[in-house]
Amino acid sequence: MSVFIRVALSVVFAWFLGVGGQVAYGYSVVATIFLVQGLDRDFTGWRRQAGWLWSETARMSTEAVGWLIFVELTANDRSAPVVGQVSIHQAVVTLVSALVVVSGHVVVGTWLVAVQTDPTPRARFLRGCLVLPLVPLLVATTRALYLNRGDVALAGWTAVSLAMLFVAGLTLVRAQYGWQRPERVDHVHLEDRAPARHTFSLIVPAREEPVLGRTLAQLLAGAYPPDLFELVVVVSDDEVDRQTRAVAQDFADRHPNVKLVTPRSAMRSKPLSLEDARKYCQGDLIGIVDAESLVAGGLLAYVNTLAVNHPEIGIFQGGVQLMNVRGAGWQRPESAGPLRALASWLNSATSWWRARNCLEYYIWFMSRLRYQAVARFIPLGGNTVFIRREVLDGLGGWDVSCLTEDCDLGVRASVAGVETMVFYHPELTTREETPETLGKLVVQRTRWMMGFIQVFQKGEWRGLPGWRRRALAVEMLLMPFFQAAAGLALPTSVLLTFFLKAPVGLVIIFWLPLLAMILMVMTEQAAFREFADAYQLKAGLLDSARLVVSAPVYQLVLSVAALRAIVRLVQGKVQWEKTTHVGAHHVVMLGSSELEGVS
Amino acid sequence: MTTTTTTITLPVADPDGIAVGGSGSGTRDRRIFGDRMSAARARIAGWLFAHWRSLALLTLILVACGLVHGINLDGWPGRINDDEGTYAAQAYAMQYRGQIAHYTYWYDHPFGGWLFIAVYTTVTNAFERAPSAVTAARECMLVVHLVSCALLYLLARRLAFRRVFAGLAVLLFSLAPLAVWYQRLAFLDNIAVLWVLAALVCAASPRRSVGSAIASGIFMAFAFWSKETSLMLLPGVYLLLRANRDPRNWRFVRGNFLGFLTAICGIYLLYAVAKNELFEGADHVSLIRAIKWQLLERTASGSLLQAGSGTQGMAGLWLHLDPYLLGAGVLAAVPALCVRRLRMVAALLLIQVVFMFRDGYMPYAYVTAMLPFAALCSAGMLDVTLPRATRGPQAVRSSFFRGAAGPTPGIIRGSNAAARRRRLAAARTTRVAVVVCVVILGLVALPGRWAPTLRTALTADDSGPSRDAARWYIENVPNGHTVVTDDNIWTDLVIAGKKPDPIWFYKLDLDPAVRGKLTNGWQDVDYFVLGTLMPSTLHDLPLVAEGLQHSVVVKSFGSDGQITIRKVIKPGCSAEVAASPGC
Repeated sequence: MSVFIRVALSVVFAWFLGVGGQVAYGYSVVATIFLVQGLDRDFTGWRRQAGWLWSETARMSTEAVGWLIFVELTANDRSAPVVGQVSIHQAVVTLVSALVVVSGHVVVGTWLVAVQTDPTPRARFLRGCLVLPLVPLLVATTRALYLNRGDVALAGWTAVSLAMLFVAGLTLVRAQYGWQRPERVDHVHLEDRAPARHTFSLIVPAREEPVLGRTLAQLLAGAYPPDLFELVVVVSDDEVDRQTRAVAQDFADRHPNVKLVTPRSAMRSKPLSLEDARKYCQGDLIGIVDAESLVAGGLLAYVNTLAVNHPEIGIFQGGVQLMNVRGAGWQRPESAGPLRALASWLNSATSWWRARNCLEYYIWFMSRLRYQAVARFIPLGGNTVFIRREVLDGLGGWDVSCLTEDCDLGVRASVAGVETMVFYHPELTTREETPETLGKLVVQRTRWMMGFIQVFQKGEWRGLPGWRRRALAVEMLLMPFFQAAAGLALPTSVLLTFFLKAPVGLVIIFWLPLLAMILMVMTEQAAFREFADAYQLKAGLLDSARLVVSAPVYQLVLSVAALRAIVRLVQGKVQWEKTTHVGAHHVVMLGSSELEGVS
Repeated sequence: MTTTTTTITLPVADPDGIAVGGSGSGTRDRRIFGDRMSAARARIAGWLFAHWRSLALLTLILVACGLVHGINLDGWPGRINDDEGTYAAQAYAMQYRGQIAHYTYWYDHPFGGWLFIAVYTTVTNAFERAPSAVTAARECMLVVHLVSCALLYLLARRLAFRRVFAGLAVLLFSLAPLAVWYQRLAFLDNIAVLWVLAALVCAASPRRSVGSAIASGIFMAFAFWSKETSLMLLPGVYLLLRANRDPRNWRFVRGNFLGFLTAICGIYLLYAVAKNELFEGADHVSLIRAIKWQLLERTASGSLLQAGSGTQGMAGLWLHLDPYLLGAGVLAAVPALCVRRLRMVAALLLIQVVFMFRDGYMPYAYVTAMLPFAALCSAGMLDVTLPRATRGPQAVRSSFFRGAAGPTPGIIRGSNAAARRRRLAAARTTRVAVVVCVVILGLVALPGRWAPTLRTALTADDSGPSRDAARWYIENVPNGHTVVTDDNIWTDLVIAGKKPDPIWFYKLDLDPAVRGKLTNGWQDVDYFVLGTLMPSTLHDLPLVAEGLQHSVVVKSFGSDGQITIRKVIKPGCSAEVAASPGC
């Protein structure tokens, strides 16, 4: 079959398209490989036994042999190919080499590649010999690449630019999903009220949280009937958490619906705490609330309404919003030289990145996550997420080995076909704070990115139905890295336009990602204004300008986090680096009219 | 610790939605696909059912307009403007030579317009099929016109016009002799108007989505790429978008509209920068130089108010062709400013009218961009005046401009209810009477004025001389002669394979690259194939003038020598056609 297609194709190429000789042969080989991909299933069978690398090597090397034969036999045909004609000689040669290739492939495949999982040294040696026919081809390719290195560089960079453009466009589309149509913006109807029916178990994992007491008090002061929800506070039973544990114990003594779980183990992490707490949860809906967050009073009532009205939905994800657009005051650390002081100031007192961080959350929950929910592939957030108990049990709970257990759970739920609903409304969002310092932001991002990679490597997303959703999974899980790469590549691209001598069309292509970035900046401006309006923040022109200027620097910070994540993954360091909180948003928000009812 | 595939049953779940097994997914996919297909079919059927009246009306109108514009499209108007030939030649250069222009591109206009023509000619193989290159470009204009008509209808509907009036707007836009004249000419303005209309249609989209704003911005940028002067209409498009806004996503709509517009227009600037041709320099063309020339240095045509100015002459020509469309449009535009849904359209027309009062250069095709808005204003005012059926607002399908429904009929109570009802009825009758009068007036006046011109448009062959001259030259003058010609004929000679390449007469004097090849000046030229040139033009082109002085007419075409083939007589040569090249 393969032989026939090859010969036929090369004849077709020569006859109709006027390409003859080696070019036609090359084209026909490539076309055949793609065409016959579905037909030669048995070849792919070897792949499962011998691994991807060796089966591809076998294919490449037999093709290389075929190529060498073809070149050798047609070396004497010096006449230029005439359009619409094909020489018999060439057809015969093509036939011969195709025969050699296919039979060689079959022989090599059965004897060498598809042998047992642990081959004998002899088989290993023969397998190694497969590489030999590739050498001339490799040399020729390298030589050609070197000779045309200018063109190769241009083509490479064009590809990079187009990829960046694609990534930027994708980011733009996802970021705008929530505002694409006007009716999509107001998707939360607070006036809907179903009678309180569902029981909630809210897990509050706490680790060195000085603000735990206030969070608990606030949760208990919410508008939902106290007999319909319980708080499961997880504080580990060790020396570090003695103070936090005391606070929690105090609450548990005073309130019947507060449970304290104190597991004891050397390594603590959030997924471990969640898993420990899950056993004690008795409510229909299990929610997660971070110990440092401010939960809106009407949240439980609204989730109850959703759960009553939408029995088909398994998971409800509420909005989480970072609130401190500006940093707190900075005090020069005592006994520090000017350089150190400067470093400390840059690290903790600067707030250019805080506004960006807040905006990221806003866009993420208002737009991106909602798109993911509709597309039915969603990495959940780790906070203000409510899962029906039978769904959580069906999924087997959290993966304690994962750095981003929330994302992992979402992926598994998506694979299992559980529907998720995302809602975002300023009156329902859980308010949080940005990391204290820039350094901690990088640490947090590193963890997230590593977690995403972990989830990607676990490969459960492969079980998603439909290639579109699988593509979406790849996009979602690897996007931080694409963006990081784009962040590094963009300045390079701009510089290259000045140094590379390129045709005008290519120069324009090099600039296109930058234009897309400008569009992204405009979108961010719009989102920032919406954000400021929604929370009645005073955001002036200065804030907007700062947002624009800080965009490339922030991108760079993210790129650093991505590099760090890759380095740590390679080193195999996968333990938790926790971000600590001091309750900055409580300070900022105190006295603001909106929170008075809550706190 | 977890299994890869988990099946979960929810308490109240739809029976087939949730469970996903490894084996069942294939059938599920197939079923989803089947569902999608039937849903799509249902959607299409629903759409057809909702719009069949519009579709039927539009089809009828488009057939009529297509016939009027398509029959004899090459014959009338004649070859009155060299620009047509220039754009055809540049499109030819794009298609066959992969260059932006047939001579050095000097940023006279962005090259999107003739790129459009080149796409058309490439797809339809027009240059090799049509009797002349300009005809090929004019065919493209027919397509542009038909698409513009459809867009105009859509725009009118989106501005809450009733179907009849939307159709009327299209008919005015298409059948007025002024429109036939200008829209048949292969001018960039027609293409720009197409894009502006598309941008307006998107700006008035009832969905008010970010996506339609993006489309609007992109189309507006295309309009800029076709002809940069269309940016003059940008405020109108923006205001329409703004009038149609929804506060919930307006910020995003605005940002994306302006963002995409700037980004795509910016590529033009980027092109100049990349070629290092942005700033003026000694030995290259430059964008800034070209803009300066277009805006500041081009000979002004004077204001509309100056007696005998070029602008006034131009306006005279327009009104001579057809006074009604423009007149009615401008008249209707003033009251239309007070009608919310017509305000932007009226503004778009009036901006252009006001521009005519300034003392600047007036392009020949200036009126093109006024025509759609004049038609919309005229038909729109009729639509506003004629009261709607009392059934109320549901008559307006467009979600845009709810105010268009007119006064909602309420229940009138009270002592003087009868009097008020009578007054309302009287007002209705007056409005109906006004519309009926205008329509009758139009039916009486228009045919008398339009029919003769349209008959000429369908029968006259004013382009004959130019085509004949080209054919005569191709058939009678062998290769090897250098010929200087206008752009209408240039492409035809190139397509016929004449060697050496003919020279566009402007470039003989103005392009250093051309002059460099003709070292002996006019003596290197063998033939001129030209129409009558203005003395002012000849003054700027000394080489051409000198060459013409030393030439004799070999053959002349048209009634009074509209276009002549002249042979240059060099010292010691005979005037015969068969004389050897170079002599």
